[in-house]
Amino acid sequence: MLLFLLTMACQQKKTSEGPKKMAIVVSTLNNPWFVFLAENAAAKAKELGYETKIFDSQNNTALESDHFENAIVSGYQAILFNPTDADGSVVNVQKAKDAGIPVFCMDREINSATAATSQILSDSFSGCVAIGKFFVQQLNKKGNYVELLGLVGDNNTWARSKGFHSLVDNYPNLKMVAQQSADFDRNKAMEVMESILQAQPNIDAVFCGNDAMAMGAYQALAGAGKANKVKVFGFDGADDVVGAIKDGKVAATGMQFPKVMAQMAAVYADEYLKGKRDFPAKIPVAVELVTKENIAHYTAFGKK
Amino acid sequence: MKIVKIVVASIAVLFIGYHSIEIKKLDEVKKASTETFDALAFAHNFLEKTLPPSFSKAPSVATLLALLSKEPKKAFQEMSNAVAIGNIRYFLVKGEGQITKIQDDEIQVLLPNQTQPISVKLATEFIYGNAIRDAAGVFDIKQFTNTSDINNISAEINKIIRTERVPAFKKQIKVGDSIQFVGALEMNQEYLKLQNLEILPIEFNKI
Repeated sequence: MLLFLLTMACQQKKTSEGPKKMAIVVSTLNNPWFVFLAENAAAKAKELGYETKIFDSQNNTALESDHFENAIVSGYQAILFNPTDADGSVVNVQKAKDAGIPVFCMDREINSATAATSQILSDSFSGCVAIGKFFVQQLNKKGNYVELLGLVGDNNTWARSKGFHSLVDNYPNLKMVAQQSADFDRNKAMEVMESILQAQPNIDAVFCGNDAMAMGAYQALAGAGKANKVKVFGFDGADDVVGAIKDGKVAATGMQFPKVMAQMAAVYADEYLKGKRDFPAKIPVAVELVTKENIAHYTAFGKK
Repeated sequence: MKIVKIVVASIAVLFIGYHSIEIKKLDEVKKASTETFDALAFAHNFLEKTLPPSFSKAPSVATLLALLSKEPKKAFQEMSNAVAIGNIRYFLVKGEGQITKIQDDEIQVLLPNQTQPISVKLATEFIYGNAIRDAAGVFDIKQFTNTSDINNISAEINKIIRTERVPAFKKQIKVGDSIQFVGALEMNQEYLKLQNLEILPIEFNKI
């Protein structure tokens, strides 16, 4: 422990004399949404005068831990962070905090109120309240529906589901006939939906925890000849769903703004390094309901 | 000498052991883990004490619409609030007018205006989201570290309006009645829509 602290102390001294650097640690670069998030964080940090490096955790908390240790000993002054696991990532953030390095979470939450300096998060709950309202109106308060959940260990999965149900469950004639996880994955969503349709052929709508699953559900419905009868709802604002809303294949999605979150994290980190300390623990970023009525104002990951 | 070493080692083990663990009563631990934020009590206090002092500062719907038409940036900067970062902003507004239609999910109200009357919808069913919590700018997110507490506050505020205040008000009114209200209006500052306004009511009275 003493050796570690001495190493940290030496490193801190060294960094104060070296170039200003921010590390961007993201859960995965296999998903274009997170690539967009990371690249925008790096671009904003560079604009503010920092050297940057993007670390890909490949959805692996052990690899994420290595990245944090690397960032600490390499003299990064701040970490812009998209966590891999709400619980498993806490120890990494705490490690950076103990080394005097502020961490700003982007999009995904960690289950600690004190480890990160601030967490800038999509307001998934409220976004799904807005989707829920449109869902109820579209179905005239009655019908059978299916819910496809994301990864069951991810906070966003439940924030979205809870937001949706906080509204939809007030209408007893709307009956959820199946609720299954498809892990935020398009192919898995198609398989799960095909299986559900065998048991529940009479459904009116599908609510999906992300757009990839919405597209998978749509494919299954199209294969079963039910695409025109069943309304599909997603969440994210992904490119293919923006197109699908224009074409009338998907009823609505919740548009997230990764660029806003990434830029805000970089600005906050810069402000921290210049002496500011008063940051809210959590900062929600609004999610906007996108339907055929307003789709002309939107493009993937944000507005035109 | 060996006995001294054993005694010293034993004392050291006992000292370290004692300071390594903390013993608490199980019922105290259970109590601490089950103590949750009372969102309903917060919502009642918010609606009854925190929010009302802002009502007198709320612009009328006509004043707000006039400013939004001429200087939308100024209107959003000076009159709108939102806890979340982004384009969705909320205005606290007030109005006085005549009921023209009562439907299952909304009440239509015609507000007199210098140029031409303004028709607005007062939502009576779909009272959800963060509009009422955020519109006056008196909700301080820095008090909270738990995301679910922040969401639950909105849910409880909306529930009080939707299940307590609205049903009581609907029993008193009919088409043609004059009413006054204070409510919250959601606007997207990038996608400005000044027609078919839907206001979430907070307080309303028959005149």
